[in-house]
Amino acid sequence: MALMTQAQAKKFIAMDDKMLDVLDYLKEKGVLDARMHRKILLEGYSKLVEYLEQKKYIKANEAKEAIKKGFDYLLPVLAE
Amino acid sequence: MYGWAGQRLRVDLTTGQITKEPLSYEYRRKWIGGRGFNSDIIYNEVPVTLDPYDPRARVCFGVGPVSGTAAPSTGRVTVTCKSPLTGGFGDSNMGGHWGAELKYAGYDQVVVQGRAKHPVYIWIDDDKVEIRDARHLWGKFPREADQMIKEELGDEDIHIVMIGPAGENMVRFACTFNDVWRAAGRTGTGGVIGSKNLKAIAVRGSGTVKIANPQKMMEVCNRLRQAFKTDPMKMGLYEFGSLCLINVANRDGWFPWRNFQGGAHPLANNMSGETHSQTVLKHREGCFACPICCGRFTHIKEGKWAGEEFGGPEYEHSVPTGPRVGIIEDANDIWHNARLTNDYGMDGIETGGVISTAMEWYEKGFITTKETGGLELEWGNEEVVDKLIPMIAKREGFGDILADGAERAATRLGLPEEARYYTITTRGMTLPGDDPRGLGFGYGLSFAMGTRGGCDHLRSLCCLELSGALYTGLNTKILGDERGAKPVTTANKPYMVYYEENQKATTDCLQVCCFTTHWSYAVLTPDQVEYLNAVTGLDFTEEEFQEIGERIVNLERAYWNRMMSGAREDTVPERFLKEPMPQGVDYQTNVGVVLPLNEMLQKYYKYRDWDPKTGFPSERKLKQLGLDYVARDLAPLRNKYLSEAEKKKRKYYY
Repeated sequence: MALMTQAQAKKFIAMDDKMLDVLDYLKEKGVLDARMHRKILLEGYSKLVEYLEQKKYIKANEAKEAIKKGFDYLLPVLAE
Repeated sequence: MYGWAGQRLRVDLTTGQITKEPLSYEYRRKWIGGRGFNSDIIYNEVPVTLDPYDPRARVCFGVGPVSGTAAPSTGRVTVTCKSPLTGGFGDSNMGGHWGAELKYAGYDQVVVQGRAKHPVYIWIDDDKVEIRDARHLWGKFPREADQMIKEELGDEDIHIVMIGPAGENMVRFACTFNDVWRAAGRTGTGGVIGSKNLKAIAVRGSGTVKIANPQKMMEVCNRLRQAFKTDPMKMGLYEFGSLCLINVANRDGWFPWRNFQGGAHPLANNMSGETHSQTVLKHREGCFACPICCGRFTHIKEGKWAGEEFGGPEYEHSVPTGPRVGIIEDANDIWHNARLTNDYGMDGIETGGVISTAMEWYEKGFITTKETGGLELEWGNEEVVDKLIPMIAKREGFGDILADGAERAATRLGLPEEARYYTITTRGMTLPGDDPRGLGFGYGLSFAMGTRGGCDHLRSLCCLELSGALYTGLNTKILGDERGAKPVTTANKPYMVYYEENQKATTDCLQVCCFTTHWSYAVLTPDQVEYLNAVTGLDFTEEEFQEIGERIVNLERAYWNRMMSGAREDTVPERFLKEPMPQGVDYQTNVGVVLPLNEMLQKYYKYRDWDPKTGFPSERKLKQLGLDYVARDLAPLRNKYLSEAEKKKRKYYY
């Protein structure tokens, strides 16, 4: 299930500083609860990838790539 | 109890009362130690309206649960007070061995209050604590007094916290030393200690730190020490000390030439770590349990300062009384000036800052030899700098005016508003020797937001920006991509500053050195949590660890807010916002750059959940952090901050 449109993913990618906006968006979509939103904000991007993999929003190989390549890879995957 | 000693030592120098206060589990879990313990005491026990030199003010010395263990660099100690320089929250931390020794003596924190009738020092010999006469030590340089106390107590192995003559004379940027050369340089802690007639605190501890899981601890420490063997930042710091940054700073245009009029100079290599190690380095020194050993010991061999020796210099200790005042041709002049600020016990950054400001006032015609008492404050005039440093420490003549810091000096001299353009301060404290137009925009943001004033590289420590490029993938792991590793960009900087401020605050609670945890990334947050749990036997999580840092940042911020310092004061000196960086060398990378602070500020407030109009933490945020009492303190002040009367007030210090 796509968590966002490709247009939304592109919009995030173009942002200068996107962590908070992405987390807010995922919270609004019900992917993250308030507790997880806060945990990821405090600990960093890799915790977001870990969580998405754990909840099966992304596959193991995608998580591996997302850790290497960052948001530019992850966000289009979430839009598929 | 594992890790912590479990008690605070409180010494009242007015009454002579010495008490030992237990630290509860809840308290230790909430603040961890060091900076956390100290910030809590200042917030709760030092009213924002109190003069920092009032006897009722406190000065705190804090260590952490891993202090004195085999984890990397666990000898640090944070010194905290209400700053006499800024009037706001102030702290500074230092390396050496005193922190570990205090732990072995059985204390997590020392709080000193009151004022002795005559100069004294405190002698902590495990359980036995005495207040002893120090009249014979008053006026002595730290290197002299340190030896005298050791002889007096008949023990060469004690470790001593100390102030120099500048602290005794309540210079507003006097610093605190331990092991003679290790300085807690910033915010004027030495002046507060001097105001209490306290010269030193000598410690001897014969105890140990109880480790809950020794085998796990050894595994973690061995793994981390292996990691240091190939760490790229460790290599540079060991070989050349923090002076390894000189040539980098010059290339990237953050070398503070003439009070930041420029960011690079063709002769910068004269004072580089490479040159220093080939010419005047006598030996290297390390702090307690340090795998890096960035400390230098210098012996000047030639010229008019031949024969002088001292511990140091550091990058931040030498550039302010070197290039920032226009001295670059003869590096021995720079080493000599660093030696002077050490011996007199003054923050090298603030000393260079106030002298360079006075030089720019002189250049621009705001002051003349009439105000300076005949001193010709021309750029690069070493003869004048050599005279002025002792004059500041002794509060003599024009030195007495400069001893109050650049902002108060402008007031005392009756200078017009436009003269303050050159003071290069935020919240009353000068910036370190790093131009954010080159060092990085993240640093620029952190200079504006520092909870101890215009600083600094030891506060927010945007090392994901400074050294992040050396650690492939690290920026991505934390921030989501590598763009933040470039200094001159706003990309990811608000989140970077938010993340690193939290991380640094908790690192300061553990009281381990930032060079082993941020500059070099051989130790990451999960490693810190791992050894914290091995030592204490508790179950801290990474989330909890970072949240404690966030709690501390918010508490310190609220102290400023209570003084009516908020969003209007969240800025950096205008020079960095208005003047495009000029070209100093042909290979400089940041020509024409200005700092786009406002683009980053609004996003930073969102990460913090602070009101962008006031810059005050939201009530929601404070309650989330267990700071309900702080929320109550701030509630009546939010509207006051926005009132027309407050808006009209220009605050340069508090």
